[in-house]
Amino acid sequence: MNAPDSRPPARPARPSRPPRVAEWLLARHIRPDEGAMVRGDLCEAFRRRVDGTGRGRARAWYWIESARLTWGFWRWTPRPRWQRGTVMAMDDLRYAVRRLGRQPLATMVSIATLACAIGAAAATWSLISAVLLHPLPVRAPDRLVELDLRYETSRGTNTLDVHLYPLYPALRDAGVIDLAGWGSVGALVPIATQPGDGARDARVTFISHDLLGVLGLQPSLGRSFAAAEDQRGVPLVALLSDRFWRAEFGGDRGVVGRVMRVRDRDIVIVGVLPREFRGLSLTAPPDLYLPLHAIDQVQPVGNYFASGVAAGFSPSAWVHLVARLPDGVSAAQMTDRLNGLALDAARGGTFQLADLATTAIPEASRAGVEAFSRLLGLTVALLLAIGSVTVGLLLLVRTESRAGEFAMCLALGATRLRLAAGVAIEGVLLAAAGAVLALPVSQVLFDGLRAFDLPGGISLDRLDLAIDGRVVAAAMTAAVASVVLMAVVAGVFGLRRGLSDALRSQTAATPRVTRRRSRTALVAAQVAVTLVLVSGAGLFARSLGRALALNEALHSDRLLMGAIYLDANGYDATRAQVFFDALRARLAPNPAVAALGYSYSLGSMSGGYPIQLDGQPRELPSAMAFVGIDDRYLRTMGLPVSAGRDFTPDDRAGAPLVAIVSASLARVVAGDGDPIGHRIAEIFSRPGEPPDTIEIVGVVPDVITRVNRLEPLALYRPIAQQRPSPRRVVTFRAAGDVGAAAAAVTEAVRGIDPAVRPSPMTTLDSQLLDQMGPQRFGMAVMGALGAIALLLSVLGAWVLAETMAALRRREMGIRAALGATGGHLRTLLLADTFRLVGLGLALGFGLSWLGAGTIRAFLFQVEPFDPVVTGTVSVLIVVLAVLVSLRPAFAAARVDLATVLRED
Amino acid sequence: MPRAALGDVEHFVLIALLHLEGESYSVAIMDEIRRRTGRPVAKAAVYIALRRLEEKGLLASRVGEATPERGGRAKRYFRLTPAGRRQLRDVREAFVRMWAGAEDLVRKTPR
Repeated sequence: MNAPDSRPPARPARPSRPPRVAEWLLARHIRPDEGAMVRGDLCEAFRRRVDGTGRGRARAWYWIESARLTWGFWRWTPRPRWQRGTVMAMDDLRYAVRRLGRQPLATMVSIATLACAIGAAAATWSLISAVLLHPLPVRAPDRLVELDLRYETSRGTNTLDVHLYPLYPALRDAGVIDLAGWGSVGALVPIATQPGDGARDARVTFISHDLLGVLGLQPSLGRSFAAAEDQRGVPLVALLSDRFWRAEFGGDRGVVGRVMRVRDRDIVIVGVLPREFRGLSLTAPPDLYLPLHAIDQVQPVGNYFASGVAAGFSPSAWVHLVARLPDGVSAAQMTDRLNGLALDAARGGTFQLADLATTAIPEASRAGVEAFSRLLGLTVALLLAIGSVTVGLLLLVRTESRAGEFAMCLALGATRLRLAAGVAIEGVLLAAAGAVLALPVSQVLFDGLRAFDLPGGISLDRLDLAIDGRVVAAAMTAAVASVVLMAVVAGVFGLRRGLSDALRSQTAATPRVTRRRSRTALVAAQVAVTLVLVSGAGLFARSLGRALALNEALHSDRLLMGAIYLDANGYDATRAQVFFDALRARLAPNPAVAALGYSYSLGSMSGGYPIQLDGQPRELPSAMAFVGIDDRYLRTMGLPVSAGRDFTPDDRAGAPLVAIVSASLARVVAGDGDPIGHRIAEIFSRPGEPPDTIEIVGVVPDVITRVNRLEPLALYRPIAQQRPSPRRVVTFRAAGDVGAAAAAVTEAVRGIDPAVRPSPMTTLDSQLLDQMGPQRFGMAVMGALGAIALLLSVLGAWVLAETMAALRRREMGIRAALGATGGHLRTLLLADTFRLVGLGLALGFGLSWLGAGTIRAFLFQVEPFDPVVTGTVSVLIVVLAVLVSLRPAFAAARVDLATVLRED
Repeated sequence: MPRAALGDVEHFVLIALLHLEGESYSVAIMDEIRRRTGRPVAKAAVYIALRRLEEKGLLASRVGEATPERGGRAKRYFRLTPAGRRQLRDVREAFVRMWAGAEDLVRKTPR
């Protein structure tokens, strides 16, 4: 027996009703006395459609129909005279859309050009805005200052932006300013983000617990440091940068409280900083921040001042001091107050305050960054200009082709203003479409920019920038305004002639010169910009080529290096030696690796520092590197001993200290004489002990590892005579494929200890290219933009040649009838192209001359007017322009007078 | 001669009403025009034509019953006024006179 049906009776289905918003909008645009009729009719049709096609499609139909009705009522309702202008403008808009649709190629070229130009401008100017204009996105950055100390010495004024630690507590205790400190040890710190995982190198900045408060910054996740956590010997805590958090923890919001390992210590993560904050120095955006007092625990090795001389006032000898000016106090007043304190810790120095936003880019790089930004800004401005010019050219051609139509309209009573407005609306439409398309283009370009560095080693990828909406809006406005201007110009040129002039031109033998002038000027401008951009890309390319040729004799494209720091994995020097011996043994039979040697940095001295040479002080002209090498290093590098001898097994610990020097250092030591036997004092001796002396026993050719040090001073020491270290740079030569050799070494390292993660293996060439970041950046940007400009110029030359050939057909026919040969006629037409390109090139040389000062700073062993580059680009432009002019020239030269007359 | 010129859509609306036996409402008028001309006509154009024809006194209208299919809104029925019929007749006669002798010419024109 069936159970009684307990379900409630089904409710009758509610009839579908039209979209309420559409109904409401419609009701607003029709007369009240017709509203019920119109909406009732539409509702009736809607219901029929619901039954026939379904509710969704019927709703879509209702939206479309109500929009059509709204438009129709608005368009066809008679209105007073003063309102008719709006209707006319809407009509113009519709006609403009139709006209653009009839010439899809020209329309697409115009829109694509504008999209590229606006996108490039938005991406580049966003970058400039973030780096130069808003480097410090914190509360009231103009009130933040860096405290520097100026000392008067016998060698002049010396300004220090880092200070001995005791100055920090002394100033803080004086209580005249809201103060915080930060420091960096410079070196990368090995961090294991997962327990038992291998370490990766991370950039660490040490900050006092009150720094975020002074900056007015809140962590986006977690909290800041507590005062108790910024003490010596307490458990370590860390704040992560947003970029590190996303890269290493996948943006996990549960990261607070997790533990990382640095060397053999745990670090607890307490928070994540906002994405916009990139640290206080753009050259080294940190991955993580540790308390200032943690510096001794994290970086005892190499932190000379922390463990040695300044042990009494550790944590760190060197700190930057950051302060926020109190309200109502100017920087000058605060300077006076600080100097009035007469602190002993200032050691006789005078305080001066620097704008913190300015110091975000180190002084040494600031001029370079500014100049490079200017170069980039000008480049995209040129592209914007060429984009507008191209659109203007196309509009002009269209307007001229409609000259007869315009003349007729004028004769029938249309005003010139109305016709010009029609042309301008076409320009507005093109510009608007280009602006919309520019949004994705700018995003793609901006992502592409991340691969590059600014001068001073400012890595755009590490800065993790984003596109600035205000900049995008500004670029769009600039482009739209300039296109509208060009459209108005095109309208004016196109409408200059009256009816009789337009009709006369159809039978005139030769077009008037004025008719050609405007187009010629536009195409010449395109050619000029093209020359500048493509030449710029060529100059950068040649600079890169020169850089790669620096170590040509070493075949540096197959020479790879990578760092393996085993102290991060808890190895001591003895265990590390076993590891490195095992690595060599594993790779010896591997055919991908031809040779392998070890080295590691023993330290370096900056230029101007005195060394003891044969007992006498000698000032170094530039920085000097001290490198520990094993017995196979020089052979792996391909460095033959050009004077003296190589290291031998006898150069062991306890034996007399020996060194091999680079050719440049040999010249510093002995001039043109023999450097062998000269003695240099060891600078890395233990504190309190007399320095040992090192005898120079050999000379090897220079290895250029930095493009700005073409005479590198290097002192190579045998590893056997050094304190044992768990760190090595493995240098190896690929037998064939570089990637295979790098993979073999990485695999061998993992085979011995899977927890060890070596740094990426890179060739010497790629290291040099990395330093040429601005040049690569410039080549990529100018190359891409130059290619677009070249395309547009060729297009412009072709359009001009085609239209001129068409306009001069009758003239050519008459000349042919009077005895001119085809060759003469072709030459006549091609001469136009030559004149045009010649004018453009002359303009381009002028522009290049104006920009030479800006680009010169970024060229490496190349002059701004390199004849090879400029000549090649000029020839390329001429050849391409002539090639596209050949077809119309040949076609026009073949015409005969009878045909032309018959056509007329 | 017609007293005032008729636009295309106005002309079509008047003829459609003739076919619909002198009185009908807007949806039926639009369907009739579409069926006879073979192409759709813009709804807004028909509504404006109805409005103008009524203003000219060529049509008169009355409000009918409200129905659920129309969302509770009433239909508005239009019928030809005697002036409308006269106007239509005058226009037709003018066209017939104009076409006299020209029909063969237009038939010879390739489509």
